[in-house]
Amino acid sequence: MNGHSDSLLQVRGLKKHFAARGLLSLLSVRTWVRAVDGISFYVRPGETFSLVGESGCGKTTTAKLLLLLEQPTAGNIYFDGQDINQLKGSELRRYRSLVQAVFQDPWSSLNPRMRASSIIAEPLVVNHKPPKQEVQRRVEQLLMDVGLEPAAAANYPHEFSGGQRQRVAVARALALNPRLIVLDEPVSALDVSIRAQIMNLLRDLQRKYGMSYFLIAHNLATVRYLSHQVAVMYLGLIVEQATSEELFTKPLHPYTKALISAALPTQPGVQQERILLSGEVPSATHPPSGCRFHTRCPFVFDRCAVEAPQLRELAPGHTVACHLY
Amino acid sequence: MGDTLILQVRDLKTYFFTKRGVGKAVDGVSFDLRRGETLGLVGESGCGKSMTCLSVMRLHPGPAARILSGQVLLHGEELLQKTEKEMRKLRGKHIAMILQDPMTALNPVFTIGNQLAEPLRIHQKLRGHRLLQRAIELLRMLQIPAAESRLKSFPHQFSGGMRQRAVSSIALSCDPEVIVADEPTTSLDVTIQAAFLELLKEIQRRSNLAILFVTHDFGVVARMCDRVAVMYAGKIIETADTQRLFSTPAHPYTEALLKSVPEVNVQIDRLYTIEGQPPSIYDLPAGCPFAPRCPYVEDRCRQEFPPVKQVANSHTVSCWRHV
Repeated sequence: MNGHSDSLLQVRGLKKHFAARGLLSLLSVRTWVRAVDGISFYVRPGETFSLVGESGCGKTTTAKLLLLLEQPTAGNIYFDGQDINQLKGSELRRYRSLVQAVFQDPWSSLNPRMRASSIIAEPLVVNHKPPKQEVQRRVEQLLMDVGLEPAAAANYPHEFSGGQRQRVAVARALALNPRLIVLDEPVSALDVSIRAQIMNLLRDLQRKYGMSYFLIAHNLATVRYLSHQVAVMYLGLIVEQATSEELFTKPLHPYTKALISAALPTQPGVQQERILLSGEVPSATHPPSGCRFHTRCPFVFDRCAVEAPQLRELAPGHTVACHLY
Repeated sequence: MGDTLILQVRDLKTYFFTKRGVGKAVDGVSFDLRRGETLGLVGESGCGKSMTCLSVMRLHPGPAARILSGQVLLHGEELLQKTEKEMRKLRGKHIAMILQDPMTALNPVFTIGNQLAEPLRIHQKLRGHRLLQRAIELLRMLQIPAAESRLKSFPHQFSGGMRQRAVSSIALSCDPEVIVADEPTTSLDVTIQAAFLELLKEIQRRSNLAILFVTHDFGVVARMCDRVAVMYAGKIIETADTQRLFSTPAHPYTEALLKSVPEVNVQIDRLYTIEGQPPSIYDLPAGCPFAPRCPYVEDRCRQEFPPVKQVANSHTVSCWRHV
């Protein structure tokens, strides 16, 4: 991918391989789980970039790499033009405060022994050591931002419902005025009527504060509602990428088409084009030769098993890796 | 589709008796299930849909949970009066269950073959070669590849989708008339979910199976169910044919839920939201439990729970707006 001067975050050729443990490693034969195997993308300021794919495709590993919770095997991640894995000292602290995260399960992402006020204030206290009154004022404002009463500050996580807990988690992520928030399945643990509330909240906050989101989700409807750019991942590789509108109206890759057709209808009796995939996602330790999707692809032909397709731009801003095109 | 009633639930009440007080988990639930039909039981977590299933199976977690009153009729036989010994003869043979999480439903230290053989040995008295043949046949029916060798596998050697197929093969092993499926696809990936639902539907068509399908996902309802019952705070507030429920929902809760679900095929400007959250079953408001969140609330709603009212053929609703 070319240099994009207007991007906030840029990822180039990112790879993360994990050493697999097993009998073979005893014989000092190393096998590798190729969780992320060379992906490139960029996130623009104020926009939402989403990664979709099934479990095990490497989307969470990518998020961990962005959050510096893992070191990449190869490739680079640039934030504001700086390689985040080269950052040291105050620069590193600055990155960590500008990039925040909201996780899937608000039952395990909040410390049960801390009050909401301490949970939300912790990033502030750790980074800036502001005076108490200022902390209190900021916590109150953050609670209002996420639609909670200021009185909720004194509550412990167990006193909140799932939706309210996720609001606390969002407030904590907002505390340091981040420029990027990594959202790892932010609504999938929530109930239907609560999901819509949190999705609207996330959108409102983005419009108000202009931060970018890096969203991971498996629910395509959620992705469509929140995203500007969407990339589809399969076995560690991006197979298609486009704007949200383009990807959902004109999907090109057979896997994207299958994912969209597998998404459940919101009306009964709606007859859509159905592409049912046979089999399961192959192991990332020994990914299939050629195109990694060829073992499940309904349109497979000879070339697919031999040669890995490269990502090509077929329409402006719409790239796809498939021999069909 | 046959029109024979197979499972009837009447005014079922299962309450929790705990230190916190009395929790009305299932509070007067009634529904019918016919042969070859899929009835969806939809609602948010804590609305009592799982507890309804467990009560029907008589697997509710006692002693805290107690069935206070009601009837559960399978083939006209009252299940609530049966002893545990009699229930054991029925479960698996006439009415079987598929649970949400296949990893916890399977015993990790026994092979799939061992766990699949158990109901066949107990209910159908199969032994030896015939037992093995039937087990292989069942795994094949659920499209598990290399069925013969897979019998010797342990649950952890299966992927999520295969585990759910294995669990389903156990549930279907003795040709039950009724399957109670409690969120069977919630833990599966979308493409695996789509394939599993398709398979379940095909098996249903072949064997005229009746399915009570519990889910929180209206997409699954749209694809799987013939009729739907919507639950809120322990009560069924609306029942209708699937088509009808989606096109003309009568209860404000159903209407709001349907509007708050984003769609893949349409770019939505802003999602509709229901403010607030469901009430605690330990502290239910007087009258209609949805009243505190309802946009059409009137004084009467806060005082008295509305009676069940028929608004169209096989479409019933409990809401004062329709009385």
